[in-house]
Amino acid sequence: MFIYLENLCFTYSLGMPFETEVLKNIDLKIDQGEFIGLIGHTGCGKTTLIQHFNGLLTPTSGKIYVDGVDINTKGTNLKLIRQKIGLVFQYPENQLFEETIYQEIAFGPRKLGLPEEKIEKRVREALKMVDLDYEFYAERSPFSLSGGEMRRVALASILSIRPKMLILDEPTANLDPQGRDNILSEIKKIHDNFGTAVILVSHNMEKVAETVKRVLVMHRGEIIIDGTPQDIFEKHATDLIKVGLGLPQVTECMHKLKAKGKDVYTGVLTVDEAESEILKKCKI
Amino acid sequence: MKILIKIKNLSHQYNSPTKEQIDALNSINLEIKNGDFVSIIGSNGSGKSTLAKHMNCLLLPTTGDIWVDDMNTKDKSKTWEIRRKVGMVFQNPDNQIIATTVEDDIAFGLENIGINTKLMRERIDWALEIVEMEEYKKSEPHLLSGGQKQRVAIAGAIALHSSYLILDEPTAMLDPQGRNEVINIVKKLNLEENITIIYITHLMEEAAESNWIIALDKGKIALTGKPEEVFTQIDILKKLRLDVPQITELALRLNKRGMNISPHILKVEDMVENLCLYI
Repeated sequence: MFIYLENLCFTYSLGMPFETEVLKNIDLKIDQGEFIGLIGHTGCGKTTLIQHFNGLLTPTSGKIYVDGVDINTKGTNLKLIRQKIGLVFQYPENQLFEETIYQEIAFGPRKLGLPEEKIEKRVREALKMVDLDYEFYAERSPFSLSGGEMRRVALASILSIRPKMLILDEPTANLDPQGRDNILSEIKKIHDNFGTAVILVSHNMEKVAETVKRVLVMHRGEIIIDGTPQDIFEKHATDLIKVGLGLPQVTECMHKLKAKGKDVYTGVLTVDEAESEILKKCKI
Repeated sequence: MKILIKIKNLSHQYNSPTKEQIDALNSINLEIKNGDFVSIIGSNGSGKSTLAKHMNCLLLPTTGDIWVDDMNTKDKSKTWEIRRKVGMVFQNPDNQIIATTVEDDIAFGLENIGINTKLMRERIDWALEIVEMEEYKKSEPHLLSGGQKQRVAIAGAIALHSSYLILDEPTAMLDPQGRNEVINIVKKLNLEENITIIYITHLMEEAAESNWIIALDKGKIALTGKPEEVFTQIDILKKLRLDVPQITELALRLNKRGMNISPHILKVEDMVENLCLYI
């Protein structure tokens, strides 16, 4: 088991007039190499939760183990933890600051104290992982790129630290549909080829449903549902709507057919699946 | 219907950091009529925001002209009047909300145009009622949800009695519920208050709610028409790095399979109704 949260609680401004309980008794186990979607309405605590995974926030009570190490005990090497868990914030392109893309991606490995030839290897590898050509991009300024390219460079600058787990907070916001699909397929490739565990925080139900293998639904600081996408969209559709989330359009269509007394499978997540389910059930 | 925003041969060039000339917009011709609800779609960098910013003088054409209610945007004496008529709502409401309470925030724009206190009160109440935020008028904006903040930003724009509202990806940062709140308010403004809407989005389901879609590609209009016409052209849209709503794609595929299902379906309800005849 890679990450283990035990009875995690977090309260903002503890003892102050604006004291707010953000995370309540969260128990969670995440294995090496999992592909997880974390969903929930704005303000439900998603971002607060993931900031605990690499020690950016310290829990009010409860424990977090990463690779068997309790990360909040005195003397824990947080630098090591942050090497293992790469966090990609919302709009990561806002964090770009170096003069060249090479320098940008080299920043992490350099801080790890790696020798220059290893740094270069890491930069090449990271650019390859996000499908950008080293020769073409390395010496260019990160600020001359399109939105989608900038986001990939930002992603590469995390990948160059070779994290065992990648956490991405809304990685596709503001990208056009193809840019969105590209980033998601890069992330999927990284997961498949390198066994990197991935947590995808997103509001895009359709893409979450298609991409991940396990979904965690948060509501008011708690994980209220944990299961496969099929399971969640089939059995918990009303709960999802109740907590301000939606269903993929094709899933909604199946649920509405079912409500009209039609015998259809409602765990349908993609247009492909919907098409074959409908053709199967049609009286032609 | 009266043509209210007229764009003729509009081109806009800017210099990239490497000093190349970039054509952000290239010979755009467009007429937006009173009461339209227009969606602008297009890949990142296709010129959507550049086009929108020309409609309220945030940018001026390199060549060509735009008239808003017969006022040319190049006429400097009309700049403020045009900006009052064309309200703008940006992606991140936190960048747009500045005051410490909701009603103060809406008052800000009104104070700037020198409206008297009594009228200001009326306008604020009117705008908050339309966006269904009247019970939050004394609230502090930072305590609101994303959808609520975005509705406050919309109220701030319409309080000036703007006849046009440009929304530049207003739901990009919102969760599905917030998205619904905003799109419903926008539809209401269009239908009940007759405000002309120009709506920039990457979400095809949202574009499907409008009555006219403009797809931009490399600064040119690549495709235009009603949503049901535009979304049947799935191959062209994919080439433009765009997409179609899931439900329309499903309709297109079932239609190809020989089922009697209209390829123009945009709403889940219509699909369900159609399918009920088969299943």
